[in-house]
Formats: sequence, structure tokens, C-alpha cells
Amino acid sequence: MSERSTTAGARALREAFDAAFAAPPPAGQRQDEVPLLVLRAGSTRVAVRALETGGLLPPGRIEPVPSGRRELLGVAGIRGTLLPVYGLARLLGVEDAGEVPRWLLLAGGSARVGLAFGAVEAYRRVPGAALEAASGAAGALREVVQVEGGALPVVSIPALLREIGLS
Amino acid sequence: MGERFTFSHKLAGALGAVVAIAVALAGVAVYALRDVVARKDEVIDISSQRMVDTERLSSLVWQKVAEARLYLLTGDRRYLGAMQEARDRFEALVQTLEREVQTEEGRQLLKDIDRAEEDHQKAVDAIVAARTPESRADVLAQNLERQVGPARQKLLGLLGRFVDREERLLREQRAASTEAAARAIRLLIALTVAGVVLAAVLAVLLTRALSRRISGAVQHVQSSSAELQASAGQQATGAKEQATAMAEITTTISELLATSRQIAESAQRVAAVAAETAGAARAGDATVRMGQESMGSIRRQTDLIVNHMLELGRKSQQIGGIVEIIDELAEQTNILAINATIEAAGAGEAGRRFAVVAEEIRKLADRVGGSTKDVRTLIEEVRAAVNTTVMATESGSKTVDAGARQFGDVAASFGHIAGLVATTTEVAREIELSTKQQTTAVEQVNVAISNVAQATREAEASSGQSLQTASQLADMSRDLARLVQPKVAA
Repeated sequence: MSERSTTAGARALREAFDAAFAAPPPAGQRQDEVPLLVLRAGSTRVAVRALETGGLLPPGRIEPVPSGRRELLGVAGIRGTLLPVYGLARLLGVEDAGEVPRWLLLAGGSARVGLAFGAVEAYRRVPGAALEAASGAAGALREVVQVEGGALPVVSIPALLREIGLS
Repeated sequence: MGERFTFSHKLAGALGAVVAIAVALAGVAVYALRDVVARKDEVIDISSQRMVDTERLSSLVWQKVAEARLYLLTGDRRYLGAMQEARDRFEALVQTLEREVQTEEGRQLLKDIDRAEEDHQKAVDAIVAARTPESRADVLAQNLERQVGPARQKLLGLLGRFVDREERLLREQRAASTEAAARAIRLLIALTVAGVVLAAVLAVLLTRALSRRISGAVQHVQSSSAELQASAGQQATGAKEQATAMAEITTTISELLATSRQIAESAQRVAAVAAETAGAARAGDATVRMGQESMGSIRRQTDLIVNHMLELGRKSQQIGGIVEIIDELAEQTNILAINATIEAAGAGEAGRRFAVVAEEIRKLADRVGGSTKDVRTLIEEVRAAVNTTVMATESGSKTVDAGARQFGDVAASFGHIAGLVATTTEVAREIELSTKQQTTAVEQVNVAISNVAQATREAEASSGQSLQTASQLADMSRDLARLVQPKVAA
């Protein structure tokens, strides 16, 4: 970004901001736009439908509990409730190399679980056509989405929850 | 023969011996001759004289008688005087004979003759006295004969006996003298033979000794002359070599002189160049000092720049901190907006407007993130530029330091050069001085060399002469050898 764009950008931002209020609210959220969260879990980058989640939160303190499931990282207190926290990378079968989970996806509707992962890379609203069915899909990774930087597998949260035996 | 005696002694001795023998021979001969001569003299002179005298006595007697007769005949008194004179002569002769005669017999005879003469004279005197002028000559003559005759006959007989005796004596003396002469001859012959033998022996001995000594001496002389020739030859060769060496030395010395002059000239040039260099060094020193001053000002400027740059870096770091805060805020806003979208989606239709706002907030957050990214990029660029500048200024500062050090080195070098130049000038002067001294010394050596060369030439000439002398000596020794032994070659 050049020096020109920064100063020009401020004015443009203000104008765009102001214009947003002047415009009528959109008729409806464009139904074909799918909000995606591009995450990094372990060593992979995956995309997740944002609306399949209940929220994106910092995990706080994950208290490890003894469990037979390796994917269960522990429990954490979220908004006054104790939630089990699973490692997304481990659930996906990917090495997480002991990364400290920085974010947590709330998932599972009423039976809330937390899916911990390393980093949020981007938030994208992509047209629904960009989501393609992946060939050889297995488990929760059924779709592929084209974003800048290549194709990303899309993790289906409900499928993932079903895999771990929840809801 | 004793070696104490030199050959001349020996020769003198031998010749002396021969001469002595000759002298002895001569003495003996002289003695013998004298003896013979004496005897013969006696024979010839004395005895003959005696014979003659004796015969003269006879004639004097007859003369006496004749004078008496004449007086008797003539009566001239002159004849008496003549007769007396004859008688006197007779007496004188008898006395003479008496002196000369040596034997008793002779003396006796002479005495008898004397008496007989006296008798005769008496008789004659008697006759003479008896003469008168009238006397007849023939009577007188007869008287004379008659009276004087016997006395005369006796006298004459005695005289005759004396003469016979004298003849006998003469013969005896002649025989004796002949015998003496023969003896003398025999003695002389014997002595001559002895002398010849001795002389021959001496000659042989001397010759042998002489030839030995001469041969030895000749060999010595020959070997000495050969040695002399050799040494003269060597001397000549050595003199030639020395002359050659002298010539080489002279050439070398000339080259040395030329080189010395060149060195002196070079030293002068060096001194001149050193003076120029000193001037250049001084000028360079001034330039260096100016350079150092500007270096100092550059350094100060550079330090200012660096400080400004570091300040800039710190400020950009602060900006970076703020940007990070903004980034964090944007991210948190993003998250909250996402959550708001999710909640809004869960709220259904009622959350639609809320979703829109949430989306706007999220877009805003994105923009902020983009802007902060830009800012961060800019900050990075600024910090990179600051680093680059600092590094550049540092490297520049280092360069300046290096330049200052180099200037310092250059100044030191100039100082060093000035010192070296001073030393060089000093050394050049010393070189010039020493080359002048060297030139003087070399010229002296040159003179000495030419003297030596002269001496060498003279030595060469003299050695040539020595060679010649040696050759002559060799020839002379050969001649000498030939004197002794004709077969002896050189």
C-alpha cells in the first residue's frame, strides 16, 4: 500500500462507512454467501462454516481431565459453563504437535463442546458455488472450497460431532 | 789430498813441486854446469893458461937467450933491457904459476924451474958480462951455447916436465871434468826423470782432482743454472702474469673510478630527489590534515545522522507497538463480529439487521487489519530503511573511521617519509663524501699500481736478463766440462 492509498484510504473508509448507513439494509442475507472461517489446526488449514458453530471464543484455561479419548483436551469454563474441549486437529486425525489452542469453536447446539485449534486465519463470505464436493471425501471432510491460496477442505461440524459420538 | 786446500793451493803446490824440481834440476844443472864450466874453465883457462904460460916460459927463455944473443952480437944495451924484461916476465909468470899451482909436485917443479932459471940467468949474465965490444960474436955464441946451453937445456927440460905435468894435469882435469859432466848429466837425467814422473803423477792427480772438482762444480753449476733458468723463467712468467694482473687491476680501478663517479652523481641525484620528496611530503601532510579535519566534520555529521536514525527507529518501534494494539483490537473486533454474525444467524429474522451491523463491523475490522498491515509494512520499510541508513551511516562512519585512520596512517607515512628523506639526504651526503674519499684512495692506488706495474716491467726485464745469464752460465759450464772431459756433453 502506497502512501497515497493510506491517506486516500482513510477518506474512502469514512465515505464507505457513511454510505453504509445511507444504503437500505439488504433484503436478505444473500443466501448463496456462506460465511467461512479459515482455520489452522495443527499442520493443516481447514475451512469451517461459521454458522455451523455457536461462536468463536478464546478457550481460556483448558483443564485436562483423564479420558480414554485422546482428542479430549480437557474442560474449560466458558460463559459460566464447563465445557469439554476437543482438539480439532486430533479430531481430524492431524498431528497438532502440541500446539497451544488459541481459539475455540462452540459447537453441538445444546450439548455444547469446544473445538480447540491454533489460529484463525480469515473470515470469508464465499458464494455457495465455491463449495464443491470433494472426491474421495471421508468423514467430516466432504467438501472443498476454493479460496485465495488454494483449495481448502471444509470440515462439517455436525459430521465431526457425530464422529465423536455427540448429538 | 786434504780438502782444506783449494785447488789453486794444490795447483800451486804441484806447480811449486814441479818448479822446485825444475829449480832443483836447474840448480843441479847449474851447479853441474858451473862445476863443469869451472873445471873446463880450469881446464880451458887455467890449465890451458898454465900450459900457455908454461909454453910462454919456454918462449921467454928462448927470447931471453935471443936477446942475450943479440946483445952479444950487437952490444946494444937495449937488448939487455929486453932480456931483463923477458926475465922479469918470466919471473912474473913463474910467480903467477906458483900462485896457481896446487900440487906439491908442481910447486917443487916450479921451484926447480926457478932455480934453473937463476942458474941459466947466471950463466947468461956471466956471458953477458964477459962481453966486450971486441969480442967476436961467434965466440960469444959458442960460449953462450957451451955454458948456457946446459942450463938452458935443464931449464927447458924442467919446463918440459912442467909442461908435461901440466898436460897431464890438463888431461886429467879434462877427464875429470868430463866425468863430472857425465855425472852431472846422469844426475840431471835421473832428476829429470824423477821430475817428469813426479810431474806426471802430480799432473794425473791434479787432473783427476781437477776434473772431479770441475765435474762436480760443473754439475752444480749446470743444475744451478738450470734452476736459475727455471726460476728466471718462472720469474719472467710471474712478472708477465703480474703485469697482466696489473693491467687487469688498472682496468678494474678505472672502472672503479668510473663507478665511484657514477655513485657520487647518483648520490647527488638521490639527495635532490630526497629534497623533492620532503617537499612533497610536507605538502601531502598539509593535505592530510585538511582531509582529517573534513573527516572529523563528516564524522560529526554522520553521528548526528545516526542519532536521528536511531531516534527514528525508536519512534517507529513505538508506532509498531501502537499498531500492534490496533491490530489486536481489530482482531478482537473481528472475532466479536463473527460471533455476532453467528448469534444473529441463530436469532433468525430478528437478527438480520444485527447481522448486517455485525458484518459491517467485521468489514471495518478487516479494513483496520488491512490498514494496520499496510502500516506495519510501512513501519517495516521505515525500520529497514533506518537500519539500512544506520548501517550505511555506520559503514560510512566505519569508512570515515577507516578513512581517518588511513589519513592518520598517511600522515604517519608522510612523517615517516620525511624522516626517511632526512636519513636519505644524510646518507646521500655520506655516500658522496665517502665516494670522494674512495676516489682519492683509488687514485692513490692507481698511482701505486702504475708504480708496481713499472717495477713489474723492470722485474720482467731483469728476469729476462737473468735468463740470458743463466743460459750463458749453462754454456760456460758446458765449455768448462769440455775442458775437463771432451766427451762430456751439456
